[in-house]
Amino acid sequence: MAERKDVNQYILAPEIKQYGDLQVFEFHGKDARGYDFGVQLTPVQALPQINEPPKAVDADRVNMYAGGDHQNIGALNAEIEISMGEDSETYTINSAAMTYVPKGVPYGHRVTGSTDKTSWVLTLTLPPKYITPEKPAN
Amino acid sequence: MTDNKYERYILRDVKKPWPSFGPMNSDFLGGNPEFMKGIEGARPNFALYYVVRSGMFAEPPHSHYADEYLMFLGTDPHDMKNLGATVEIAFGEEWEKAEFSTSAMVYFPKGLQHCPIHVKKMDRPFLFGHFWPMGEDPVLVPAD
Repeated sequence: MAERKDVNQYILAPEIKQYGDLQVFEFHGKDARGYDFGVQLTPVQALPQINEPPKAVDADRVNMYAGGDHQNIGALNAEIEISMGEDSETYTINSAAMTYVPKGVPYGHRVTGSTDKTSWVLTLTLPPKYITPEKPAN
Repeated sequence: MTDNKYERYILRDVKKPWPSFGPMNSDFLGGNPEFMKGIEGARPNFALYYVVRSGMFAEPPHSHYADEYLMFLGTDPHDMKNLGATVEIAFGEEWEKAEFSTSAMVYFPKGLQHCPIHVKKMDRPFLFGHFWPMGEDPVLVPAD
């Protein structure tokens, strides 16, 4: 008889990090090939407290900036300055947006306007691209 | 002079009206095919939206040819562990159920049947999305 697994093992708990009175959701996993991936949800109001300078990492990343009002997820209610590249080129976003950060490119973000309303940044740290194998010829 | 060489890595039009899943969900955020195609080193496959009320997700029981994660993300920035809702998910052909009310990543190994997903209780909307770490096409294999 096949071993019966407890399905609760598939409900995976994140790590919760504390920054002042604010918290950040973090999850670290491995894909089926063994490559690391990560999921992080950060309240935009916490960015000044995290105060992380632009940094490069050895993986591709995507960031999704999302509004905190479920009735208007596109309204960021904050102005965020993004810094990308060795020359720290800056860009400003003030509504929901997505950024792609290639492996090795320095990236940072900071709030330049009001942060009195909640909004979010979801950061996915991605494993290398998986190429779907071609079907074998018959 | 700024040459804006990274502007192509910023997508400013990410909000999409949720097409067909009804009143349980907010609009969702996602990349468009052209932007996603320009991502060279990886293949992100994910979406993000709010679940705004209790009820059953529309997906019928199914499985996939690849591993999938669902993100259940609480939206109290002072208490991120608390999902603000109670969710029940059925696993396997016998619909063995797991229930949780904390923020979580829910893992579906390839081939494992899952759903229905029932939001049994809702205190406040939570952020939700799927994530395919390896980016495979999410082929949905309906349950028998």
